[in-house]
Amino acid sequence: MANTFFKSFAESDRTSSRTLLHEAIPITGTLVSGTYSANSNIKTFSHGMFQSVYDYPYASSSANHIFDVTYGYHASSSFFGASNTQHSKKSNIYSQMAQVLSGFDTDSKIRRFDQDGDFAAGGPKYDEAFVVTFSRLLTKDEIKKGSFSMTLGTGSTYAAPFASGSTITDTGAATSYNVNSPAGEYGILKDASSNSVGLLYYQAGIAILSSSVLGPVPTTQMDAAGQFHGALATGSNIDALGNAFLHRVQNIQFNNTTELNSTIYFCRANHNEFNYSSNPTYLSGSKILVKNNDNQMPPRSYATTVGLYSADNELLAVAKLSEPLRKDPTNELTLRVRLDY
Amino acid sequence: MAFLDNSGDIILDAVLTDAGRQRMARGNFKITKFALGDEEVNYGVFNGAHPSGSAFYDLEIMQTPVLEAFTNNTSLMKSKLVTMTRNNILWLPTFKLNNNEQNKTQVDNDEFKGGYVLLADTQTEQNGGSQPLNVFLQGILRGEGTSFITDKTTHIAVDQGIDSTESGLSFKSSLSDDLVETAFLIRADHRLIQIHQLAGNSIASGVPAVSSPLVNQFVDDDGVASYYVSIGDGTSCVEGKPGTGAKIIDARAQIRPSIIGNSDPLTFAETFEAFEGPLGSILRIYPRTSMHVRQSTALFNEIGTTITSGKDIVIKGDYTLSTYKYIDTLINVVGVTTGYSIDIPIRIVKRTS
Repeated sequence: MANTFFKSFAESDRTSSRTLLHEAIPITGTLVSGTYSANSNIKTFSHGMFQSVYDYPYASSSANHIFDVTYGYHASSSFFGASNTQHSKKSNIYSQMAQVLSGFDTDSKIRRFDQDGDFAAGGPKYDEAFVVTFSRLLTKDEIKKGSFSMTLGTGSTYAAPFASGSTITDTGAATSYNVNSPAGEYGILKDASSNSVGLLYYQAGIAILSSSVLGPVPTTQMDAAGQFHGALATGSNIDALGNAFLHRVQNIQFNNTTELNSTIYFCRANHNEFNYSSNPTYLSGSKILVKNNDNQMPPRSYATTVGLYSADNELLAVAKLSEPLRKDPTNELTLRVRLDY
Repeated sequence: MAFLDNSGDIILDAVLTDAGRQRMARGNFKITKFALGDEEVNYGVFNGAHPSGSAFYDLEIMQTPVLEAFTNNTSLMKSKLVTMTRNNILWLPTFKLNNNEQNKTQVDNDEFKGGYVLLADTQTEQNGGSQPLNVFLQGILRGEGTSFITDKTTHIAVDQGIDSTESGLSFKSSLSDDLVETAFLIRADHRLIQIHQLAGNSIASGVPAVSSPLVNQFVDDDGVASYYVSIGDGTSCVEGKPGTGAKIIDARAQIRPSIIGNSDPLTFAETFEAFEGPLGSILRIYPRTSMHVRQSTALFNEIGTTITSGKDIVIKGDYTLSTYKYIDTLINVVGVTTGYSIDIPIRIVKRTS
């Protein structure tokens, strides 16, 4: 063994692991509508296809984008009509979301959002829907299954949206979810009575919500003028529908998931390795200080840093110990360095 | 960077360096080896005479607070723990810049003591004229033009040896083979400097010395180039301990083979050497300026200093530089066997009028 300060890793000195990291994401309704005057944290666009919600007035560089809301309907919807306000945009939104999230059938036709996710069995569809697309900043790699909860006001009047409410969740999705979507896994959103009211796509971070999620469609006032859902779907633009939705958001909560892939390096210092130092203070007049003038005294050194190198000696990663570790011929060290990607 | 909490279990705070992230982006990130460092530790506080006994000798070292990891790859692992095959080593060799006049690698310029002045271009070397000038003073290196045997400094020599005569140690004693450096890592700012090797026997021939560029291993994200040179690599950079063959044929090289075990006083030979104790290997390099430094003052304006009066540099007897720009930089040399390192101060000087 030649003298050196490098030690090569053997194949058995490295391994890999996968860790899931979760964060709780609470979004209060007051943030969505009311905290900021003139809804300065709600950004609308001239194209009118969707609205973006920020956690701070969006003109500020401190603002973070948290989610978007939009609305769409399918040709099978009773509200579908060529003379509707923004008809093509509402239709396009539905088609876009459906083709990305539900995919195509064997005839290459876009599949409608199925209420129980069982396309083969047919069954009821969501032909008009509010779409909430959460920012990747919030969802990270995916929404944790079984953690989603959204409380919406279902009061019949616009002035008192929270006179009654409904909490929709994906309860049970941790162990029961669907995988027949081209956009990944999704769960069924249900209200307290276990009625299906929407779909939640975990990796995409998108919730598809039934038009009835804000209360009975024919009788729930959606705007200050007292219009109901049908009137807005046909005679108002997407922004008006978005405002109606945001007006009734009381709380949204979920846990996100970050997938950490780690490589673990075991840095093994055997008893006869790394016992000397090249630290300039190690020597006084070329003599090793820690030997106390006795060449039979075992050498010792103190490690504070682990450097990980490429084959051509470039320092690629570094790990610091929280305190110096003594190394001498009477001990051996195994330092476990984990790099996350 | 803050200190790490050392009140509980020992933890490891690991980060990718900027160079590591760059390699990851390029797709050539592969960790193959590790080293241990101890840059925060001051072994001077080791108290081998502590009245409470040996368990307390290193009390102060063990209480050293450790900083969080930097991400700058050049700021870390400055001193490393070294594996030696023996436990009975009492003296370790170190590095010194050879500062002996006969060896023509002096470092004694009035305006820049302790380092080398590297002239940026031929305009600076020729004092604005068209003819090469000769007989530059000690500590002056030519960045572009060919160096002359008559220059007081013809290259940079880093000597390895034991800096002690205690217990009968002498430069005529042989340094244990396992302590002799066989390879060096050299790092220099690639924007400013390229490292050259000296041409074989040119110094003794009486003609201008010729150098040729070394091939660097890589240039990192900070523009720092790394070079690896070793005995037997085909370059003239590394010469082993006395008696193992010379790479550069100069007066020192002619005397050096007969040093070990010689019963004569060898006072003349001693004047060439940087150490009084056993001698190790020698690294000889010649820094040359980059094309950017030769052709532009942009870097001088950005990271350098402009001198208009009061800080003259005497280049040779009849040539004094008084208006110029300069950049101070370092060449870092690390011995691969002992891990010992040395920083060589370089002042790159460019004539402005």
